[in-house]
Amino acid sequence: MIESTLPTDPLFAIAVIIGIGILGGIASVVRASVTTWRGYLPWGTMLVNTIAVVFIGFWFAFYPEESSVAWVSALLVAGFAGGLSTFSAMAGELVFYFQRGRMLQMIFTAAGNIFIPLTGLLVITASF
Amino acid sequence: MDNFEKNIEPNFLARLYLVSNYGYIFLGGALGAMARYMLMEIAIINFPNEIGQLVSLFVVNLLGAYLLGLTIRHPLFNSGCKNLWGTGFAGGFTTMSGVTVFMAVTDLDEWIWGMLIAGFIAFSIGFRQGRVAMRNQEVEVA
Repeated sequence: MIESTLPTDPLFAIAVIIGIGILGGIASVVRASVTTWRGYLPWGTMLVNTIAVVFIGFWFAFYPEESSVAWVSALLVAGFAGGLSTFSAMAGELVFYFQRGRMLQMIFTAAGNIFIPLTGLLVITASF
Repeated sequence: MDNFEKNIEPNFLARLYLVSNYGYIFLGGALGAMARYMLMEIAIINFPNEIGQLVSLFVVNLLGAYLLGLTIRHPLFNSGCKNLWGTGFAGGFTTMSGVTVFMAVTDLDEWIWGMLIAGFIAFSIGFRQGRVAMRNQEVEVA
């Protein structure tokens, strides 16, 4: 059973959605700056995806159980971490490597964007 | 004075250009994050299980990948529009952190690999459509 993080009070819910927008916007600017870092692989994309997942891992490690702070979780996880990480840029990088026949780089990009953040998350959850 | 203008103006314009680009990315990212959150909340409220979350992840990531592919070559999207709808909106709308966390807490890993392939196809379709539209416009102009 997955629970909604949206507050029941309509005005508060609108405030939370706007807050998600502001944090998502800030995270997008950070993402756009970091994803310019690329070498043999798109390291910037992997880095933002890993930071976002590790951030979520840290948040849930210290997440208070009371449902009264579920909106903080929505702001940080859906807003900041969601805005920081990106699937579309990774899909674009896979297509461009494929078009240039760079299959090894394509496979490393796909695997790296899945397994590096996943490893980070597992390390964080095992540490706390 | 002439030297002063020559030295300062390009820097100022470059800075203005950079700030406006980041403004577009901020606005697009904000809209994308809000749209994603609302879409995923609708899915969670109506289908409060793993499948509902998986379907919402598929929808946001495939739509976002298609949109980013479309913005790269489509003549409708100039530099500001690319930053707003491509880097900003599509980037903020899609989520890799949600996918990774979903993979860590469920046993539906094979669906995530399917999502990668589907995202690849969605981006390719958008990119191809954008390129065709650009070529059509070039033919019309010629």
